[in-house]
Amino acid sequence: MDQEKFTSLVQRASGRMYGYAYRILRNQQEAEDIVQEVFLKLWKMKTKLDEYSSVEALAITMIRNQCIDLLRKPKMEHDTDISKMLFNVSGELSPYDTMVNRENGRMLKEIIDRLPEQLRTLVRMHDMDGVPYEEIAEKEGMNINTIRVSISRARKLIRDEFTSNKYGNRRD
Amino acid sequence: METEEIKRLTEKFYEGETTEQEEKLLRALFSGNNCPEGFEAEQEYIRYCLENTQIKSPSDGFNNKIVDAVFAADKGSESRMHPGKLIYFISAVAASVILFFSVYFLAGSNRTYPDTYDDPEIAYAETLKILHNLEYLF
Repeated sequence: MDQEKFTSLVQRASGRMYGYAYRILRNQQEAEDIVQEVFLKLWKMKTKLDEYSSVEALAITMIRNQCIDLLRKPKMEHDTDISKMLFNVSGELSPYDTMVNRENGRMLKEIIDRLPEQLRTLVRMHDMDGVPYEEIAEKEGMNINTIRVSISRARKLIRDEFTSNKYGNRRD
Repeated sequence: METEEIKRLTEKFYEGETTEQEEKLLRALFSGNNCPEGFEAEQEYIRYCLENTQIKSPSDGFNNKIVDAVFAADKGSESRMHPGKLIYFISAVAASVILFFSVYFLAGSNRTYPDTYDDPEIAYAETLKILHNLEYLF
């Protein structure tokens, strides 16, 4: 892959890669650093890139691995690349998986919408927007432990209802 | 072992006891297409949260920064000699120097000069004569 093609890959894929990293890390600087690091690695493999059917899918997998490495670093200095052991590194979702995901998303949205208002607000703030407990406590004038307990309750309610809707009462 | 770790993290997650770092790790682990058996509900929920996260835009000129960094690193690595190559180069120079001096000294020690006098007594007399002349000069 030559410089021109690589520049066009950066322009085409960097937004999606950044979004993916940001969703995991919830931090602009860290997400930007990860994306840059992955592009550096991709450029080092420039002679082999044409062998991949989707360089963007490869890039997304690399972003995920980098995030895992980064998040595991304080615990394990010598990375074992857990993602490679746990998940396959196939790229895009099949149309069927995409449809299932969409359906699951719709189901979860309905469950969350039915939660009591306070639980719904807390779940949205913390689990979706990544607002830390301390900040929520300050904004909402609540005790951190109360917030933790409420979010815990909301998560369990969501899990139980989702499992019951999707699989029947399979999970205890 | 990793499945055990996911189990431990998800248990903490449901108790509201995960740290920010652990929650990010769970998000990363569950962001893939597959997940270990028994954690489907957790993956779906976390994936839903990921999809609904509001993303802060990257900084201005983000793409240009990436392109500059990538090609600058590439240029740097091209102009600098690779450590392996540098060792090879130094070894080659050292070997050449050793070879040169070895040849010089070995060849020098074996060098023979042709005799200018057939009779050693005449040679001795000639040497004495030259030394006497030198003595006279000083």
